[in-house]
Amino acid sequence: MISDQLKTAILGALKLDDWELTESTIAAEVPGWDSLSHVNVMLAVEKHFGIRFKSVEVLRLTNVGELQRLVNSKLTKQS
Amino acid sequence: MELTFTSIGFIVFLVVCLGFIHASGKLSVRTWLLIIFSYLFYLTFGIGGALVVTFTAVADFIVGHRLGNTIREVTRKRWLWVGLAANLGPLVFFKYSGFFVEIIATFLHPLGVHLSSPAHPVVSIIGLSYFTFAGISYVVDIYWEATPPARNFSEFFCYLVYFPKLIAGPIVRASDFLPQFSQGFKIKAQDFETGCGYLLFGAVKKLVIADQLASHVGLIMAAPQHFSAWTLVQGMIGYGVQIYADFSGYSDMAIGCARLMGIKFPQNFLMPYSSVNIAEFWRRWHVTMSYWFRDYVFLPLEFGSRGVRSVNVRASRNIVITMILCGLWHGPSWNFVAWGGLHGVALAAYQIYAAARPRHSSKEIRSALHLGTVGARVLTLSVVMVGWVFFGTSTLAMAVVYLWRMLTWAGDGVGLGSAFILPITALVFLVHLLVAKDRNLVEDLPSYSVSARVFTYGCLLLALTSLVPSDAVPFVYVRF
Repeated sequence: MISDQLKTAILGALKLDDWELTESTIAAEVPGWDSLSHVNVMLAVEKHFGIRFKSVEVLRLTNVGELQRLVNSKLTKQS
Repeated sequence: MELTFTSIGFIVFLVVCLGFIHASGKLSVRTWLLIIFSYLFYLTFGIGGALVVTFTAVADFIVGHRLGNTIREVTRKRWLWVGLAANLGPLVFFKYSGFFVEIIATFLHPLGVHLSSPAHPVVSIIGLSYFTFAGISYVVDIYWEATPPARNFSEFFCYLVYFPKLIAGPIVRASDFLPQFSQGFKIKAQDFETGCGYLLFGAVKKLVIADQLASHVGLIMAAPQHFSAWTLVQGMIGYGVQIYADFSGYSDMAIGCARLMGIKFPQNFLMPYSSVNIAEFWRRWHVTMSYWFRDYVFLPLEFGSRGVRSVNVRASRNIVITMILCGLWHGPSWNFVAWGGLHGVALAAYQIYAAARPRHSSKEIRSALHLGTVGARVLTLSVVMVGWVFFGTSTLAMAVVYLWRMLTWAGDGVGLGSAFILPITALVFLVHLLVAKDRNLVEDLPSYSVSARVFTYGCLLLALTSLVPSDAVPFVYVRF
């Protein structure tokens, strides 16, 4: 389940008003989310949640569901 | 006698190989048969490559095994560096050492120091760039824990030396190839038709389109100072279509060979000349190489420099570095550096534009995608075609002459009347304009009616028997 907060962070970085994001959504399916914007999306997610990713963690991600789980694990470690 | 894909010898080789593979019951037997056939294939290009790929395979397997069994981060990092050195060492030595020494010699010459540079390449190892990148992706993916090490040496060895992709790609990742071993190379009836379809389409692209253009375009590229501006424009566009048909044709044949053995390769060309911007072009041109540079060069550079405040400065710098390295990958030449630099600047400019564009609603985005403005396509194609001048000419000076004569619309020079360039290029661009860009006709064909399929394959065979020029032209991308 993709949280509204994550959706807001991603769509905000891509300057999209709306787009359906599911667990299995990959970057190529979302307009404007390509390798050129990928880091900006990740930085926006970091800023939104107040967390920090390691490069290796982000490079391993294959879909939005995995990003959600990574965010959840970071938030759990922080609390 | 080199076994190029479009030779009769290769057809015989492939048939024999398929016979042995499909007659064998056990997976381990099939695996070793494929390794043997791959070596037989590769040895027709010389013994040097066979020795280097063996070294790379052994080194990468050992490093991958160590990475998979080591937990301590410091040790893992050391093994990663060993793996990178084992892959990049031969590549740098055989392909680039002469070029680098030449650069150093240029700087030292004014100081009175004279260095004699070795020939570049030192020794030509066909396929070196391709299997080196496959090896690097294997080692790095294990380090990132994105893929486990290969189950055994024979499977990894087979992956690295597999002949359909060995000398000119596609650059297949171990994570895409190795899991297919568990399917035991089983081939369905549709796989057989699709595999043959790819071979036919690829052969037509190479022999009917690329080779028909080659001789005319080659003349223009070799001596631009002799030709009129209009001829130079035709030469530029002709080369752009030639290199597309040549390389996508090769990739199709590689995909087809693998499919006949039940192995699926990723697509390498996705109607690149239908792109509406340069970023899209790089998602459609030599896709496996583009994604390799994205995953193993650009994104690590991006994440490593995320402290840089300005998004545009960070991204632009990393894009240009990545594309220059991409250019250099093609060969030790300032032409390729210039080509990469041009694409880097174009991508950086597009990135800045895309970041500055206003907010979109999803409906607006979808309709823009469907329209695909003609102007955007023309602009994108123009940048790409200008870049090909650096590819097709032999020196930087020649490329500058070429571009200057076009820019100033030089009226002197000979007009080369080619009956092939304009009709063939128009046909290819028309297909890119009219056919849905994500459509794959070869994959779709088995679902059509029998009569449609017979007609299509019949046309391809007719083209192959009647429209192929008499002189064979080597595959362009094999030299990279």
